[in-house]
Amino acid sequence: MKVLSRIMDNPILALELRQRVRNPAILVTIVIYILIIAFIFLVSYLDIETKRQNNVVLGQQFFYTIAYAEFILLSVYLSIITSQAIISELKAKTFGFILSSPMSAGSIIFGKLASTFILIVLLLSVSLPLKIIGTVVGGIDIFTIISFMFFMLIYSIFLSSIGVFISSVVRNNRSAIFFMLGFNFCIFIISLIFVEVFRYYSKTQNLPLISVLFPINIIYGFANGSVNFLIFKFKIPFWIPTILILGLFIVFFNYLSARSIKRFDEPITLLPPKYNLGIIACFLLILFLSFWSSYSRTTSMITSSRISYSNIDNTLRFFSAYFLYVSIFFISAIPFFPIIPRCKSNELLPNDRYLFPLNLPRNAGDDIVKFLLYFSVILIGPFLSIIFFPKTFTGQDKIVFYYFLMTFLSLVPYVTFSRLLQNIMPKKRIAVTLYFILVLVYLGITFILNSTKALKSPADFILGSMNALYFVSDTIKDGFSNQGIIKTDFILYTSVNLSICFFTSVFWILLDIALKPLNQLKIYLPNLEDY
Amino acid sequence: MIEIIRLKKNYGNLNALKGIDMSINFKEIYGFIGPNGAGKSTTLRILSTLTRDYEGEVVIDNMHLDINNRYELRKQIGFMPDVVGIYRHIFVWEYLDFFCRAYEVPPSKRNKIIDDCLALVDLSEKKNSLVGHLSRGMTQRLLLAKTLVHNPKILLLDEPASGLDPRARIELLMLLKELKSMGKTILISSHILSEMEGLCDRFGIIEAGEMVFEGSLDDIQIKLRSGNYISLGFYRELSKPENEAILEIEDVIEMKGEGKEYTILCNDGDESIKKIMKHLIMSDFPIISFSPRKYNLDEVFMKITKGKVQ
Repeated sequence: MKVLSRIMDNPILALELRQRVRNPAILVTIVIYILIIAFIFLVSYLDIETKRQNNVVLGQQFFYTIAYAEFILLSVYLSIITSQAIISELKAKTFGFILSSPMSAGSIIFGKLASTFILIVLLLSVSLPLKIIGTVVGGIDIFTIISFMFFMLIYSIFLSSIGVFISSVVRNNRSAIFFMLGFNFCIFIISLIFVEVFRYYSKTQNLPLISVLFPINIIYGFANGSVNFLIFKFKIPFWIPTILILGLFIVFFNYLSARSIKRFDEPITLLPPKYNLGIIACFLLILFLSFWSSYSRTTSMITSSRISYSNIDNTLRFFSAYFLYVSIFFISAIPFFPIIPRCKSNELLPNDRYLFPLNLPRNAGDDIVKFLLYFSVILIGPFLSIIFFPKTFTGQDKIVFYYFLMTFLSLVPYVTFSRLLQNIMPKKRIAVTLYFILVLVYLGITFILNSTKALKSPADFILGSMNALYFVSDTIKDGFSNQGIIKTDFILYTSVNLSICFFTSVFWILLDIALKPLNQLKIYLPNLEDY
Repeated sequence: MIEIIRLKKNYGNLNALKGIDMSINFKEIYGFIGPNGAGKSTTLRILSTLTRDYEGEVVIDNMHLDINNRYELRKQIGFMPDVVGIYRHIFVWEYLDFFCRAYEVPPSKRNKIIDDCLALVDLSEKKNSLVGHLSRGMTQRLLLAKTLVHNPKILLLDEPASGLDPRARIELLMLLKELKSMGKTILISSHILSEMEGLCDRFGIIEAGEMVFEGSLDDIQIKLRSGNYISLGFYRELSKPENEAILEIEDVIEMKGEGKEYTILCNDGDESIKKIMKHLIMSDFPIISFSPRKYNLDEVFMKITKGKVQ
């Protein structure tokens, strides 16, 4: 009871609830929310009615349709409200009052998250009668509905944490919503596209990939992933790693938010240097453990025991999934680059103005160094695995490793292009918009090419989505077909693709330099003492 | 009560504070004066523990302000920033309740404290009104009430009277006097000098990040003793020769005015005043009043500051 009264005594929680209860917008929100879900349910009903399916299929389809709709609606709604959490205080000029009180940053964040949590409980509850229809008709048990709501609540906290974090570092409300929706796009849409492509090429419905996708695309995992998988030969239910991974992200983002709030009137500091090594070490440990424990060859074979995979298929899938999992996180981080001040001169910035503690001159080149830092951190996991468990990496498995390496390097042109846009565009907002348009165009081209079967392997799809120039060469496209992976000279094609990445990056950097006023053009070399 | 030693703060290349020293005594009202951009708000933000990266030393109530004790110090301080930030969709009592919670006031005492604070700022009747429905003057008084909910020893008020009509201003000043009588130490920043004059015990004048003067109005008079002002009143208008005769008196530097009212600036020292008075009487000028006067705060401010901007 003491804990509960302490929670309810949180000033921010009380304030938010009072404001929301009194605001007619909440009523409108609930009405619109339930109307949309009801409409989707009606469409689903009419669709099923025409097919005249049995009750089990009917009930399941009702429930999963509503669940998908609810997931998307809540993701969008949460993105909008949580990305305003701190910015709205700034706009109302009330944040100074909050910061000058003895309230801790953790208490402020907790209040914001708790009020959002209550709101989500409310929204999930109002749609409960519709979800129950799945049970009434048949095919869905109560436990499924409860567990769906439970996972949705955890996912909501995860999204809210990211929303509050974005709200604490971005000073413009439209940009914050834009970032949040972009993040949702990355974790939901892209992961769905990837998994569907993998499904198509694997010729089966159940993949080890689902275990990886579950935390980042919870609805997909929920609908498909009620599998157990092994950690150190212990059978673990799928929801345990999900909660752990989401929990880690929640802690991580709330930590960043708290740091940002504590130093609010000072320059933006996402990762203060003294904590950086610790955070990188934690990430490294997580990546290393997840790599070895969850997805060693033995595990993936057991996980997919119902389906006969060849070893090479499993390893390929593992690497692709691993790549996907990590890359989506980092792709979503790339738009944060515009947070760094625009390039007005080549002067060195104070250390804490950087996203990462590399005190380098502000031009496109420093982003590459930062990116290589990300890259090396991610690769250390697999490298250590190769060193400690050499038997896992034999023969053709190395090819997959090259794939992994290559695809990451192909992100470099994105980073350099992002920096170019920041430097030459009059407003940061325009730069970010253009950047996202570019990303969407690339993805769109890839998607079209994939649907016309121009691509021949999942890896082609990944590469293509990262670097549109890849499609220029028919030779490369043919070289990376499923057969080509094994039969052709892989190193040759890797080199070609890396060259394309390299020259694209160099092109953006040169353009960046060329567009700067000449009097600002200086060349700095990184000072090793800064590290 | 508050001691600031060589306080420096930079925003990039801008030196907002260039090593100011300041001391505020217990139970006094300290007027912090300076033009816009002089560094008043920056100083107040540092004192209110909002800004962390600065150089120098700040001692509040015998505690050195640092990262470890700022939460403790916040309980001693009531800070009212220069911007009016309010939650419009909650009731007045809820607004104060929010700050009671934020300052960890025990739930059992909250209702009484809210009632007392509202009574003090004369807003009891508005307890159940929405904050968004209050007038500007009432809002300002509500903000003052919220700085008092945790009974702080020190009040930091940044431009509390800005944007208020004359009546609301006078009411606010009376309220501040009442708070002083209750034993609060008040640091008030403003650039409405006429109001500060009768209110503050001591002043600090800041310009371009530097403290150009600190002390009472009497101290300033002594410091500015490069001349005296004397107000003269005559029962008839002076003729031109009479005007010139006054200017020819030894020690008179300049003379302003017309008709029957004049102000003369003379050399420093009581001897000069005595000499001029004697001369005017002996020369049979139609004089009916003779009053040496002090600089008012506006004149002091103009004399001390140079109009520097950063």
